[in-house]
Amino acid sequence: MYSPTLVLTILPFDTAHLAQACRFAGEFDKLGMEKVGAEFLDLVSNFSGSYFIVDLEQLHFINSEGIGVLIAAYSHATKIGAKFFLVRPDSHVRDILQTLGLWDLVGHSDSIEQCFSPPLSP
Amino acid sequence: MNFFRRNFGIKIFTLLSGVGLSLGLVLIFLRIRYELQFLTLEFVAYGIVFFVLLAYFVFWFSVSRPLREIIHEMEALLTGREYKKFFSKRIDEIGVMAHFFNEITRKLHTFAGSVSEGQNMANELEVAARIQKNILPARPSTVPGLVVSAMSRPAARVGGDSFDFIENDGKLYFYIGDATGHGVPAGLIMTMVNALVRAFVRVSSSLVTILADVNRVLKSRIEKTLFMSLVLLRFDSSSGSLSFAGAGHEHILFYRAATGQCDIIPAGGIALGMIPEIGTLVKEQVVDFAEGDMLFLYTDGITEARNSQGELYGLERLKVAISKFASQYPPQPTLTKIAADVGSFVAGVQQTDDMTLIAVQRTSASSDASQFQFSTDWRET
Repeated sequence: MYSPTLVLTILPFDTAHLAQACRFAGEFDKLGMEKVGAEFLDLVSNFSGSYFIVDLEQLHFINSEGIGVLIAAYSHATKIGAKFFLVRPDSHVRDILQTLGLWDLVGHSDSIEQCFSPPLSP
Repeated sequence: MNFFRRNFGIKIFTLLSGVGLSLGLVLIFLRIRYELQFLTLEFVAYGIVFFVLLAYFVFWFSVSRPLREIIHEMEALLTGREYKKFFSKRIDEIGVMAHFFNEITRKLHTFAGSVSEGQNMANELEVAARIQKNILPARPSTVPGLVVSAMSRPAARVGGDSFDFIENDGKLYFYIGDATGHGVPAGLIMTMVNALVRAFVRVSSSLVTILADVNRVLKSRIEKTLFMSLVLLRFDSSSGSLSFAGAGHEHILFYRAATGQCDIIPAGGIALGMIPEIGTLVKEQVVDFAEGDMLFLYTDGITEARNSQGELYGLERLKVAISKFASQYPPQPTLTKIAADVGSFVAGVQQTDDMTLIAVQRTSASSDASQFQFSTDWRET
């Protein structure tokens, strides 16, 4: 029987950029939400830096409950004036983010380091 | 102290019996050996009887009586009569039995409370499910030129999927929505959005304005992690035009009768409840809807239905099923066939999300109300 898993890795706080990054791997559904949702929301609510970065490269599925916690993180980051970035979502996750309109709302980049680079001039 | 408390009754009984028996034997020996006349056989016999009786009373008070009391309380418990706790500080078998009895009765009380609370919650959920079912339309408004069918199946008692058909000023407004997750929180959002859409349709005919107003009210009243995707459509029966505005919902699928193809049109926009103002992100679009065409609205419970290998049903399978069945059947049997296709794919694997499918077919404007087919029941035949 298929059994999805979700792993949340919290990277050390980057004091140089005042950035908190974390990484999701696996599938973010109801089970994933029960497993790491509280830990992630706790990380979000305690965050007070300049960048909140979520690396999605190893995330292969996300449903509305997973999207919900990303929105909570985005809301908190914007409320305190921080920048919120999503990094390297795979095509399925990106489709869902685009369908829901979240993709156009948040910053996104190809790497964590790239989040700190100034945007290219038009 | 523990020496006396542990196996007290048995020890005293054994001690007294032993002392009585030994004393009797010693006295008999003394009488025979030293011919002590005052130690008559009657004296010895009375002594033994005295010690045996003393041992019996000690046994009765310390073992037999408390054991009988515990058994009496147990009988009362098992036969449904009133029973009381048994207090004992002893740590022998009687103490263990008393402690066991008290623990069992305490857990029974807790369990009975949980059962009662669970029953109350189940009753409340049943009421919520009934209210929600009543919110979903029993049948759509009778707008000439459309044949409508809908099917919905919540994953839990209360679901987060929603749809409605609202007729106003000669136009039919209809929507499908999907609140975060499922269960009671999703059901409450679904109920709120249903009431808001119904109210704002009476205020404005602009789909963007309706969605922006619904979002504004919703955002201020729900948690940060909750939202609802939705696509709202408006069919004008006099002109035959169909418009839509999306709020982060799944694509709209059109079966084109002329070509037999299934077109995908992204709903666009941003889900309700994500940000305070969505007016600039939502766009109203007009889409072709020719006679014979059939449009399909669905929630992600369909495309994200999984089989035992973890594979998703997906948009491609849905498109194939639509192209296959919409060319042969009117809306209701088409939905039943698609539901059966999804059911066959998941092959009995329990699904965790609500599923809703809506099919709307454009027919000639002279069609009468008898052509409307509508059911909110999920059937897989």
